[in-house]
Amino acid sequence: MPAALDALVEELREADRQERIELLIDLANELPPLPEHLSRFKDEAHRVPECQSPVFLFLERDGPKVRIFADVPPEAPTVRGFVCLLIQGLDGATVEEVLAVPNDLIQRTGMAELLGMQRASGLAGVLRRLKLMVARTESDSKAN
Amino acid sequence: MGRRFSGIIPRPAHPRTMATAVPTTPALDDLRADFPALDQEVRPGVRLTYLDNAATTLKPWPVIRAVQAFDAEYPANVHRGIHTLSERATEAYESAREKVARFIGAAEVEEVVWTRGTTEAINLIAQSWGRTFLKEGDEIVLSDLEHHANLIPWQMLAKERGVVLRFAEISDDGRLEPEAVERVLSDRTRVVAVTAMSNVLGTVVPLEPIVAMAHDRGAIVVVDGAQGVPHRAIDVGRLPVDFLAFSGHKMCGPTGIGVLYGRRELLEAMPPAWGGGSMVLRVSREGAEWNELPYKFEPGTPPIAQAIGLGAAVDYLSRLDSEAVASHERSLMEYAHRRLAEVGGVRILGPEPEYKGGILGMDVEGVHPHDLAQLLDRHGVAVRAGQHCAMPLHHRLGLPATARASAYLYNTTDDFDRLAEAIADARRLLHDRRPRRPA
Repeated sequence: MPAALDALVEELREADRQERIELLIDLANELPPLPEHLSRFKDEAHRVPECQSPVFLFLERDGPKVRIFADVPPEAPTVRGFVCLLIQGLDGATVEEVLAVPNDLIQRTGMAELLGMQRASGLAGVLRRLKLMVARTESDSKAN
Repeated sequence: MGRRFSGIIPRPAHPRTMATAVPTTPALDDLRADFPALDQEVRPGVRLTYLDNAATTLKPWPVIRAVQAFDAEYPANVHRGIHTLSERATEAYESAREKVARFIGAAEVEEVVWTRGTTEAINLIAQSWGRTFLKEGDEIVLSDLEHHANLIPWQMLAKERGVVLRFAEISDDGRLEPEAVERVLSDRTRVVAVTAMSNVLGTVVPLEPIVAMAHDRGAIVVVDGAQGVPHRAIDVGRLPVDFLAFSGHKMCGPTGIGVLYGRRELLEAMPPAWGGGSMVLRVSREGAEWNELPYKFEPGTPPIAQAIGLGAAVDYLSRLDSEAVASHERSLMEYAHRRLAEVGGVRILGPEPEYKGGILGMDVEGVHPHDLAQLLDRHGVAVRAGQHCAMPLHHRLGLPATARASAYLYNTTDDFDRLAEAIADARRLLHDRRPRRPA
């Protein structure tokens, strides 16, 4: 795992239940706004279907590295916090690093225990979706 | 097979108080002591405040013990066993059916069909009665309040048979006025299928005029009683609905057991929806002769322990004064409306307490209902969040989801104090807290 993601996971894992939820809310407040050039692409193709809240994910390639952008409503701080964790932890990571992020990331952070099975599965959908998008950009770049 | 039991039950004057000789209203603390799940900490130091009763209610000791007794002492299959345990199981199982029949004021015990729950009961009506008696162009009237259980089965039927669905619209405060139903009735209306109480807003539907209007048009009335039966007595003897569906687990009973009540002549005319053992009298290679009511709708080994548990739940509820319970729940809602008005940013959805049962739909400013439920759980307050299987209603409300606190007979004003405090704390946590992480 990239060091930045590892540090965030560790911080959450070591927190108690109360601290963990506060950390997530803090992360939610740190999510940068979606760049203007991406705002008009907030459509079904960029939406994470597993999340009931409207979560939109975007990827840009910078050579071998990926940049992740997202839009999550502030009313959904736990989802927004998790998405921000992915962005902060994986910003500038390589395709391989993103694809190597363990699928049980949510369990490793202790968030599964906090959020319950149903919501944890929604968040796992965000990670799955991100990996799928990264894999697609990789195969598109190879095809070109 | 075909074991007859009690035959016709005389319709009692007050069916909900018939199961025991002396209806009583125990003090709330005594009543709460009957529900062991109430007395717990969900995490060390965090006591449970259970306000998710519209999803499922807690079970009192008599229900738990009745299910345990079946499993421990006489776990035999019913009806055909010529041995003591099977006789005992059959007696307990069929006695539960009689209790349920009395509880809802059914004229005959054979009018009570066991199902897995409300959903299966309504599917049974749609698949059996609907497929047999509805034809292209016939109309089914529903309302904006309906749970998917009282919508999807009719949509499936409509698609298959060319039946038209029409929707009675609710008012902005979530009430279903009889006039709204009348506006969508026509000469082609064959079914009016409505909930007795909205599972999202708590709106109590005025069934009496709706039943009268539907019957005037020659339509049958199907009532989704999943929320209504546990909270208000629906006496099918006094209110002549044609079908009533409800679930055991929303009225102190076990999950996996529900009821379809149907008027005898309607049930008699319906073919079975599913085939198998127990629902037949004679079988040859070529065909079968259906068993009598209610067995022709109950193939296979039934949910015996669950039915016995529901019988115990009905006994338990019948001991209570239903008017006192209704009044207690109404007081709780009046208190909740007042108390939550003191918490900033809480919008209570649906009508004023006088038009609703013990369900409180909420929209809390700046917090998605899922996150709200998460934050309330920190305080041990159990509520539900989402669309509550009522997507068209949420579309009508213009909300992606709602939070719902729902009360039952064991809840107290303290529970709603804790809800209000937990909501206020959630809002503080989200909006007025110094960040833990360095900027």
